[in-house]
Amino acid sequence: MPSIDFVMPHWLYWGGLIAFPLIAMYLARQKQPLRGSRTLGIAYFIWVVGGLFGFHRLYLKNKLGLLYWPLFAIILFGSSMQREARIEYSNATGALIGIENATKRSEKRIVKSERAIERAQTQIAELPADDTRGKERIERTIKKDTDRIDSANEKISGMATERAEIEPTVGEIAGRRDQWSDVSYYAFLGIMAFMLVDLFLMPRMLKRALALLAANPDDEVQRVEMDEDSQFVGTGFIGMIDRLSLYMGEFVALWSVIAVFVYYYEVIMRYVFNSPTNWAHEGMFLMFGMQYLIAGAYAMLTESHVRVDIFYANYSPRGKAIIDLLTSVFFFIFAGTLVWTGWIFARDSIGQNEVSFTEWGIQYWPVKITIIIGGVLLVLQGVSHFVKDATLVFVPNKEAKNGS
Amino acid sequence: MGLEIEIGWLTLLMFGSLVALLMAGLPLAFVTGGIAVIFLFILGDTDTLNIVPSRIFPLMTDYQLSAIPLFIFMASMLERAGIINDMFEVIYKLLGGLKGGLASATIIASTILAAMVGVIGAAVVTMGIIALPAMLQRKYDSKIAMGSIMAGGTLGILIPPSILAIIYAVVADQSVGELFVGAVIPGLMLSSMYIAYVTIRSYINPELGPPIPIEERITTREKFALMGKMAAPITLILVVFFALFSGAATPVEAAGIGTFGSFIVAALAGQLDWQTVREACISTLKASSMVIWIMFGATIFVGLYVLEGGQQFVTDALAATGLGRWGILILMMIILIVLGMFLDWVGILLLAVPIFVPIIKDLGFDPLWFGVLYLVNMQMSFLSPPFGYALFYLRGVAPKEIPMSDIFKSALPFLGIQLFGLTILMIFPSLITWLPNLVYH
Repeated sequence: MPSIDFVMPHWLYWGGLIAFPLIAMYLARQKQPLRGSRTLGIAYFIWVVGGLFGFHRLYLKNKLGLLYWPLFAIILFGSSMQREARIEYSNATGALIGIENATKRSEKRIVKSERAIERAQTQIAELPADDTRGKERIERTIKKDTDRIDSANEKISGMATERAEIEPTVGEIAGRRDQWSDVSYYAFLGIMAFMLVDLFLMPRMLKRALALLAANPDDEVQRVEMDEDSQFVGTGFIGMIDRLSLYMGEFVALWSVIAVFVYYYEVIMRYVFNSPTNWAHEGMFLMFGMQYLIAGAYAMLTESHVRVDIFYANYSPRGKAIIDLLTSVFFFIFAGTLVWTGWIFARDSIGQNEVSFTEWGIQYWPVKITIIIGGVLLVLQGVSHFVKDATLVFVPNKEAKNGS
Repeated sequence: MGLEIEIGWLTLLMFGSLVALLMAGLPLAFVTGGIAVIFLFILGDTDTLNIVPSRIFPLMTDYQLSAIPLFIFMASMLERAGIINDMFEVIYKLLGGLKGGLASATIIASTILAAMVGVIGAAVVTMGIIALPAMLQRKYDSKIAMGSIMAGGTLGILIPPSILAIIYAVVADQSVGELFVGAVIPGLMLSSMYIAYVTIRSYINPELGPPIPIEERITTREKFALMGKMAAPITLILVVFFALFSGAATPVEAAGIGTFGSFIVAALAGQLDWQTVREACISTLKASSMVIWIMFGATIFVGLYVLEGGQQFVTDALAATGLGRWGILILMMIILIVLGMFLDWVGILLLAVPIFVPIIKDLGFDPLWFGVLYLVNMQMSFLSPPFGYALFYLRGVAPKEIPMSDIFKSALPFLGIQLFGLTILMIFPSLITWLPNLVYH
């Protein structure tokens, strides 16, 4: 299996985070295809993202798509065997290098000791004949050095047998690794060939699927429509704040779709191509981190933040508004502090163009800036709530109109 | 301002104002955040406030946490595409012929559903809309019907992928995967105890849960056809579980696979279009930001409390009771149950767990085991009056002529079963630890 080393460029990451939600927001407002029907566009989309699993065939109600699964299982199995062999291979070659280094060290030791013996022998020759004590001393060092040479030789021969054991397996492991790599590669090529053929067969499959659907009309899933959150939006200046929270929320909400495909890419890269990325995980948790912060105001607009409403639920709308006005002090203290300290927190980071400590080295300062953005949106949304509540309390005739 | 406040008084002040503001109906995230900021200023000075972003930022860059929006997204996608509604109808038809069969079907369906979703609202509401009318129409006892819907629905936060387990793992520094695996047996145990309860009651008194009339039942052949309809979502669950429990993928990757799978399942049902995707994204955003903002507020609040010596204070207070290690554990469980009557589950976790877990470790208990006990305990918080979430979710969708007191009463036997289950898990810890040891060691 060939390995793939695509690293997400920074400009594409940031650009994608801005461009994708805009495109998706536009598309979601277009006329949608009929529920339950099948279209060629979606079929080709599935062909691109899930073709390896034959999902495009299943989508077109063609059960033969299931035949892709055993092939895919072969790829997965082959890749995992290849991964295992690769680890064994690097262990074995590592061991060989270790042996070689140790052998060299022992050889050096021998040379050193031999020289020492030579020196000692000349020293003995130069000694006066009656200096038996000096002679003994030098002979002791000669003895020590010969022992050293012996043990080094022993080590060398030990390592030689070890090397003789490992060396033949290296070739075997490498062979096994390449063999499994070939297995998954051929299975992959097989799937690719099927997918290529399907590319041309798909229009025909669609026709048959549509005919099948027309024959069993009640096979379809029932859907429940969702309430639109635009119902929470007020009027005038307050409405502008609400719409800001609403669109910012929808914008970051659509990031989740990016995550789906990035994680899918990461998993396929890791388990099929044995080449995990160094950017997918980091890019995604940073993206979600930014999403949480910016979504705070949206959740507040749509009343999604949980509250304990044992007593609260029983109040009249006006009573709720009065209580909300009183407790909003605590809200503003929190949100205001968030903006202010968030600014201090992000300031240094922006100044030095902070990047992450990982290989990918993505810019950190935009992530820290979202603390400020999130805080500001939250304060604005708080102002919107405050004005709505105050109107309800002090201008009673508007109660019916706003009704919140 | 740099005031010195003795820790006992500080505890009273911090938690007293917490309770007061909560009762006034300010959202939990802002209550904890607001109080924390005020006390940070009172105890320190303006510079101390810089703790706020430095506690929030690590949560923004937490790898494990990104499993939360992903698992919620997977469930929302299936829900928006109408797959979940569909599933109930199928399981209903399969089990309708048994005595008490619809109630058992509800519990089984919610167990399967719990393996798709990590929160409980969706399950209780969906079943309240579909299962409750179906059971009432067939003369089921309303208490059995409502009880099984609520008890089954709460399994969502116990059976993996549970959002609560992810948060516990992050807060208590445990492995998400092990916690998921550890919750499987307790989840299935509770689920089968519920089924045993409704079946035994219906066999003793068939009027509580009559089987559906023979003419409404379907043939075995039709049953197989129906199962085929369920094949895609069931396969999805199996794939996610395999990814989680084989240890091949991290929980976040498993969540990614699951979300991708939910796109495919939606497509196979012909429901994949931008409208569905947008709706799923938005409901994900609301659910996950609700959870995460509570974390933001609570992490500052608890961080401050621990910094001021609250940890030591609680440890000393518990030691002063003179109870043994088991006594303290039982006391903790009781505290959690009481908190569960009033507070929201994420809130309890973030307020109590960071303080409890170090004590649990000191006492020599396994924090993983305690985590699962906590998850089971939280099951009870959903059903316990006066503020069990499941009770109110069901109130929202149940017929108006059913009084609230009936909903309360219907929860009681299931609360008893949960308490029984919790006790069993405390007496036999291996029910929780056996499977994670098998998978991970």
